[in-house]
Amino acid sequence: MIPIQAILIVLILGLGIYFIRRARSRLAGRAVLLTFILTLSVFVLFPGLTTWIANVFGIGRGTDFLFYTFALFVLYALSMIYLRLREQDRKMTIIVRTLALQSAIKPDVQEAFESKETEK
Amino acid sequence: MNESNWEYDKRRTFVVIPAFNEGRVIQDVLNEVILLGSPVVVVDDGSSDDTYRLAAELPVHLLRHPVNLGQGAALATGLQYALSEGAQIIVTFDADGQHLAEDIPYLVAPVAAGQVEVALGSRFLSSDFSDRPQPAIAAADAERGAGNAQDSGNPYTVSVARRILLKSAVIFTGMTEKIWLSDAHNGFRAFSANAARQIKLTQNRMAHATEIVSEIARLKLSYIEVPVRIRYTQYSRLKGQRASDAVNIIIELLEMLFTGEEHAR
Repeated sequence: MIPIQAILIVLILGLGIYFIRRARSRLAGRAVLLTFILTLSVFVLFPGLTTWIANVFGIGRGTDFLFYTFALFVLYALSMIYLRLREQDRKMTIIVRTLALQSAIKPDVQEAFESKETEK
Repeated sequence: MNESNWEYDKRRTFVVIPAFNEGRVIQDVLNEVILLGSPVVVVDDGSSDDTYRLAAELPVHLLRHPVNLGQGAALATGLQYALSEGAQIIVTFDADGQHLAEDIPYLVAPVAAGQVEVALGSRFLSSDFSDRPQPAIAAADAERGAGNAQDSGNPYTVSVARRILLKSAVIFTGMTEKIWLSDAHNGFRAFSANAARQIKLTQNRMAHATEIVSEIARLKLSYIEVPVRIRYTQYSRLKGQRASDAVNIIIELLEMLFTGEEHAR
């Protein structure tokens, strides 16, 4: 095992544990994450594997295959983040609106009429 | 309720005014509107100046967003509040002095008569307005650089850049919703309570104007455009230099088109 493999494995496992801990216990999310960790670890340990897979798909290099996979994953992750942000926007709007409605001040119309009369 | 029997009940007609940092003119604007005798709802959209304090001095309903959400959100809050207070008709009105309170009855009329559910103010519909009361120009107006309508520096004309921007909004709305208006970006509108209840406003920021039209299309609400006057002053021109808003609107609307959903539902 060359040093880079050891370092990458440790990093991947570390990140994986970190995110699993922080994620809400959604089975699907965890499953995806677990698969991601395992797959990446396998590729790190058996680099020749990526070349073989790449050839199966008709891509030249293993690195290219990993790059494409990574690109897809990034797009997926960005969409998830975007959806979360939108959901937060929605919830924040509800909260702000509720606060505004609860602290509404009604006009003191009688007072105003009287003072307007005396102004004239 | 038989809508053709509606009487124009001033006390059930609410004027909703979203405001953001309009401290300089808010009291002048509110005083004009209050004179009409209808309840006024001011929604302070998290202003950092003293808009809220100044509005509180006047006999208006006053709400405040603790943080700035956008004109669309402030409008939605105002509409919800007005409906909860028993509004039968709701007028939306800008806080920067561009709209004339004297035009409100003309916007309300078709809705009150039951002809339409929504009346949309348009600055591009020609009308000589001679049958309408002239606005009382407050002293502060002179300071702001406004003139009488008869002056050569007519504050009621639209600058070319602004016209292009506004007409683009018209084209966009026309192509996406198949509703062709003469002015798609005018905050001066009147809604029946029925329409206000059904319209779902989810766009918090500037794209809410287009969302209103798309809601009208979706709900198949009857509507009409009513000519209104716009008062351009030095003050409103300063605030009006928001060409970057056009880019923001387009981006927000593209998102809406691509995802098929809106924000903050």
